[in-house]
Amino acid sequence: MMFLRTLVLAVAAFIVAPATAIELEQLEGIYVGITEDFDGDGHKLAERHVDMVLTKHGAKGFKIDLTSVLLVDGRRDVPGVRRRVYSAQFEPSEKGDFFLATSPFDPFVERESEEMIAGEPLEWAQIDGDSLVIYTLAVLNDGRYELQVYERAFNGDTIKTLYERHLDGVLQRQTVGQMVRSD
Amino acid sequence: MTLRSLAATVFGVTAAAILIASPAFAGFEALAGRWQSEPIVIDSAPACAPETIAVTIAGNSDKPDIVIKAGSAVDLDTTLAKGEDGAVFVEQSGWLKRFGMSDETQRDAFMNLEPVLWARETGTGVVIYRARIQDNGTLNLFRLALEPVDGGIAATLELAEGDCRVEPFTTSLIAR
Repeated sequence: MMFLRTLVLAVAAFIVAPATAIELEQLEGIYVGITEDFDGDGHKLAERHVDMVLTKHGAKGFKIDLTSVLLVDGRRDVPGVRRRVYSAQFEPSEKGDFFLATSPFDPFVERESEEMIAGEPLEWAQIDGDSLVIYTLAVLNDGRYELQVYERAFNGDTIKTLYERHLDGVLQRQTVGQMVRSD
Repeated sequence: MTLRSLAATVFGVTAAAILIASPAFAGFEALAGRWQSEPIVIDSAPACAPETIAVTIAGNSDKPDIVIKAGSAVDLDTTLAKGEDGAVFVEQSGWLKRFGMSDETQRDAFMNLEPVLWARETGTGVVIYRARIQDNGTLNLFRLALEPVDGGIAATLELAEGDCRVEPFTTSLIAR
């Protein structure tokens, strides 16, 4: 699975060939696309339709609204389909060259019944070349950590996306996809 | 045999059976000492990969002194204290010694780009963590699992330091 991640990032880097960090204003827009979910062993689990709105927030921050629809056998018009909505807003940190989430946001909410989280996860974002990377770190009551990393590599109107969820160093879930700016 | 003495006998036998059946608990006490790896060989080793790992654990089981040296990226010398729940050891925390992001002291430490250290006992060993957000937003993460085996220690290390990443690997530590 690391190979897949490396391959995706390498392809994204080759296409994008970053020279300087991308500006937030260039990223604003509405994007739609498709992603594929894999478990920690690389077995494909599902496909999703995704819809993302990236807008300015405050003077120098940004806001993300993401909707995903988990397909059933490639369809979204049959029973079992699941729609999830995530929203977060970020503002520049005073401590460094990154952004901090400014309101409570819990991407773990859909797993609450399986595993309780010790406290609010810490969430922040960075712009790395032409990629927007969002980190979510939670430390569980028993001391294990959970890290989610959502990387979006921009290339004009196209975004390559890579999401990973690690539990105490072990990859649990990976999502790879592509989005395109909507007219 | 009275009912009371019968109950006492059953309790005693049950307790003895549990003691016999349970594996020895291995926390910090079982790891006390000075430990050192042989030179570590990793194919296509990244720049932050350690060439050796050295670990010293002293102090008492509720407040272990820990020294870890693993390449240029890891040079720890700290004392952890058992948190209020008894499961997690912390370096810094609020007066309640709570653990996790719900503890304001630790949350602030993360947001102030300070390294946050903690550890947990697993029943077969311990796992020691250090995490820090860099000023460009990248997460530095160090995780070292230690487990006593055959007079030595099995050490599993994971490291992310900026763009440098060492995938988890296990090596043996022997007494120095």
